Amino acid sequence: MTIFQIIILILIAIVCFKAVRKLLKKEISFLLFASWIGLWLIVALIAIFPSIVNRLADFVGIGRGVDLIIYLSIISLFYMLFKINLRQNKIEKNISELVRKIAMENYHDGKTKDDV
Amino acid sequence: MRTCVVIPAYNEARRIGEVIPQVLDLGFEIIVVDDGSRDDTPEIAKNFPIIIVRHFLNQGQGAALKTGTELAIKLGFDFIVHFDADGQHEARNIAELVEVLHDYEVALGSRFLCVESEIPKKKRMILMLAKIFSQWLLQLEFSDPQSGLRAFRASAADRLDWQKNDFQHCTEILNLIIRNELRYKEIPVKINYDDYSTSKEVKPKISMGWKLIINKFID
Repeated sequence: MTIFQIIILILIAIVCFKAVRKLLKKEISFLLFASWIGLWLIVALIAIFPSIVNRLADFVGIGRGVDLIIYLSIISLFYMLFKINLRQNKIEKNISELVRKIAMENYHDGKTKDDV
Repeated sequence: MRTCVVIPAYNEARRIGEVIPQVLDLGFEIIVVDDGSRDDTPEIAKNFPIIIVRHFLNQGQGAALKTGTELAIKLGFDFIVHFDADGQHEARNIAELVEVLHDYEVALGSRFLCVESEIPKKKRMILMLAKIFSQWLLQLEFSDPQSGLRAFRASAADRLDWQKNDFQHCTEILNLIIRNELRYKEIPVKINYDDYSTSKEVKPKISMGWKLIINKFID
């Protein structure tokens, strides 16, 4: 096993350990935990047996296994950015609606000096 | 017929105390929407016989105008006027806008139809670019697309459900006027520029243009 593989596996172990702690503290859902652990187990598997990716790359017609990983990573990152952007817009819209609703229900009428 | 002047205000403590009496003196009712100010804007506004509604978080002028407009509709006003808190707008123009609403559903103030407005050179150039941008790319044929002085019949305002909280609300409102086929008229209004109001303005950025183009295609 190379030094690079060992570093990768140590990093994955740290990430998984943190995920378990977050699950135990109920900071993340089980679904998110399982997806996160699943992703890193695949990365660990590829780190230990890099030939798997090469075979997969050959199968889909991409020259090198590393290229396949880079392509898939870029596509996944763009998709995640898109989803995060949508989620952020939705949260901003919800906050705005909440702020406006509270404001509308608590206005001050200076003519009667009443707070509604 | 009851008219309500909606004044969105964010950190306008220096000017709001001068603007409110100018409008009240002409006999109009006022809703000030304090958009999460961190200065004394709401305290100063409370010294006047007006309605004050407060956003506990700053949301932007578009959101403040929407809150004020919806409250005015809810309270049964017939005409709704949007008016700036920084002293750029002249209270005498409100009556002229409202007069237009007897024949039209929307009245829009335009500084380019008026010879009185002394627009600073830099500001004039920016506004002209914004106008060309609106006409060519967004296909909005208005003489002053960035004007914040406008008036609606309540029935018309009720149909304008703008969503943009930031600077884009001006263009969005114009788009909605066209989409809802509302009858509108532009009238000349005078805009006053001084150091205070100029310093409060949103500085133009290229990203603003991109946002408008992207939203045009998405919508």
